[in-house]
Amino acid sequence: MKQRELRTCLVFISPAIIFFVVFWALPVLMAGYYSFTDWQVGRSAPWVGVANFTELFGDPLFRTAIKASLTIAVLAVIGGVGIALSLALILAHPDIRAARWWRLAIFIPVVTDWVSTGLVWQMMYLRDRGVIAQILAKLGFTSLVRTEWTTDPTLAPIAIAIFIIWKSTGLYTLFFLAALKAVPKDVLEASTVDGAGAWQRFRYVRWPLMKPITTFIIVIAFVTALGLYEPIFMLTGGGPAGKTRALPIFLLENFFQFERSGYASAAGLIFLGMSLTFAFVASRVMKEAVS
Amino acid sequence: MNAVATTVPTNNGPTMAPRRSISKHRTRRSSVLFRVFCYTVLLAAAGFFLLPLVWMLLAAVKTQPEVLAIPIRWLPSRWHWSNFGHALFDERFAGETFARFLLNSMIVATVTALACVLLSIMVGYGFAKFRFRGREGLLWVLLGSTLLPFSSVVIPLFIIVQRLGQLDSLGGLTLPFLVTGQAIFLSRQFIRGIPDDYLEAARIDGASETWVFLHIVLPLSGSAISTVAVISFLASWNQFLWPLVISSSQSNFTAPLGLSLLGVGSSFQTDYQIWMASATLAMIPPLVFFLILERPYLRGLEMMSGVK
Repeated sequence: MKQRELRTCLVFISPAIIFFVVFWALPVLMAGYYSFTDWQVGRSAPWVGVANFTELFGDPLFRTAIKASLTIAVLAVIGGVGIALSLALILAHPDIRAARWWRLAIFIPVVTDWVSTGLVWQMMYLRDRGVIAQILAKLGFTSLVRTEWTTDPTLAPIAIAIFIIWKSTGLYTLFFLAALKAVPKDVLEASTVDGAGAWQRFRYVRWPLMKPITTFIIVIAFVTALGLYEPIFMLTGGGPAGKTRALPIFLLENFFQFERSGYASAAGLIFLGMSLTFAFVASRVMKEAVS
Repeated sequence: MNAVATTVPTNNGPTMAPRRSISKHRTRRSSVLFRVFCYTVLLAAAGFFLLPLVWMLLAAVKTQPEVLAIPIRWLPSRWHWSNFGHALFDERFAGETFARFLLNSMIVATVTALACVLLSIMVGYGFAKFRFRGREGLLWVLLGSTLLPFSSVVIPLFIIVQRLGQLDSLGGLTLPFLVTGQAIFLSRQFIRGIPDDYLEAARIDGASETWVFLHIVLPLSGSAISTVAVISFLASWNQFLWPLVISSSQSNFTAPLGLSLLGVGSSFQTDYQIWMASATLAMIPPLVFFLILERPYLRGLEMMSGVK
C-alpha cells in the first residue's frame, strides 16, 4: 500500500518537477557557477574566483545601475502601494456603490501587456504634442507643455515609475481589498459602537490584521519593479545619462553586446541576492512588528 | 485516516442577515461630504487608469495628423476602421504581417496555458493528497521561485534553450513557462479542498489511481483549471524579454515583440494611428480571456496573496 502510494505520487509530480528543475532551478545554479568564471559564450569558462564580484563593486556603471533600479523601484512601490491602499479603503466602505465596476476600471491595465501600453505611454509623454502636455495646456499650465518627461534626468525615473504604477496598482488594490474583506465586520462595528473614529478604526482594528498582506504586497511590488525591463526599454532605453539604466539593462548589455557572460552572471546573482534578501528582511521586520 | 477537510467552511449564511441591517444603519451615518470626497478620488483614479486606453482606442481610428494634433483632439473627424485592416495585414515587418505575430502569440499562449493546467493539476494533486519527505521544503522552493526576477536568470536560461536547439522557435518561447511555481502552488491550494473521503471511497471500491485522477480529481478541479489557465495565458502573452532574447527571425515574433519595433525612435514611418490600432489588437485576446474568466482569475490572485 505504502509502496503503491509513493509510486503514484511520483508519477503525478515528476513531470512538473523535471520541468521546474531544468528551467528554473538549473538556471539559478548555472548563474551561481558562471559568476566565478570568465566565461564567454562558445568558449570554455576559466575559473576566476571572486574577480567578477570585486570588479562589479568597483564598476561605476554597475553602481549607476543599482542606483537607477532602486530609484525606480522605491518610487513605484511608494506610489503604487499608497494609491492601492487608499483606493481599497474607499472601495471597501459599505456606502460606496458599484465597487465592482470601479475595481474593474482600476484593474484593466494589469491585464494589458507592457509593450502595447508602452507605445501608448510614449505618446502620453511626448513633448508639446503628447497627451499629457496637451491636457496640461488645456488646464492652463502652458509653461509645462515643453516638459521633457522621458529625457530629463530628474523626470525620467519618475515617468517610468508612473507607468509602472499605472500598470500594477490594480493588482495591489485587489490584494488589499481581499484583506480588508477578511477583517471581521463585527469587530469593526463593535469598535464603532465604542466610539472609535475612522482613523482609530483603521489604526487599531484593520491595520494590525493587514500587516502580513502589506508585507507581501511591498515585497512583490519591490521585487517586480526591480526586475522590470519592459517599461524602461519602451520609454527611455536606459537614458538620460544612465538615470534609468537599471540592472536588467546592465545585465543584458554585458551579455549580448560586450559578450562578458561570466561578468553578467555575477551581476545577475547579486541582483537575485538583493531580491531574496529584501523579501526575507521585509517579512522578518513585519513579523516582529506584529508580535 | 487523517482529519476531514483542513479548510474551515466560510459559509456564514444564517448570520448574514443581522449584519446587513447594521450596515444599513451606517449608511445614514457617513456624511455627504465624505461620499463626495470618496467618489472624487475614485473618479480621478478611474480617469488615470482608463484615459490612456480610451485615448489609444480613439487614436486607432484617426488619421495620422489627428492623432497628435495641437490642440488635442479626442474624437476622430471620421472613424477610419480600415486602420485595423492595415495594422493587421500590411507587410510592414520585413515581409511579415502583424496578423502573423498575433497568431504566434495565440499559439504560444494557448499551448502554455494547456500545459500549465495539465502539469500543475497533476503536481498539485501530488502535493495536496500525498505525504512524502521534503514536501514542505519543495513547496517553499516553488513559492520562492515566484520572487525570482526573470531578468536575473535569463542568461543561463538562454544557454539551456540553446543546448536544446530551440533558439528562435515557437517551442523555445513556450518551454520555460510550461510550468511555474505560481501555477503549482495555486493548484495545490484548490485541490486541498477536495475531501479525502471521495478519493478513499473510490480506492476502496478498487478504482485505479488513473481513474481516481481522471474521474474525481479533474472534475472537482474546475476552479483551479480556469484560474491557472487564465493566469498562465496572460503571463505568456505579456512575455517580452524572453522573445526579445531568443527570437531572431520575424516569422517567430510574438505580438509584443513585433510592436516593440514600432514606436518613437524606431526607423519605421510614424504611422501613429497604425501603432495604436496594433496596440489595441494586441490587447484584445488577453482582455477577452480575462473578462470571460474574471472571477476565477481574481480568486486565484487573492489566493496567491494568502488571504484565502
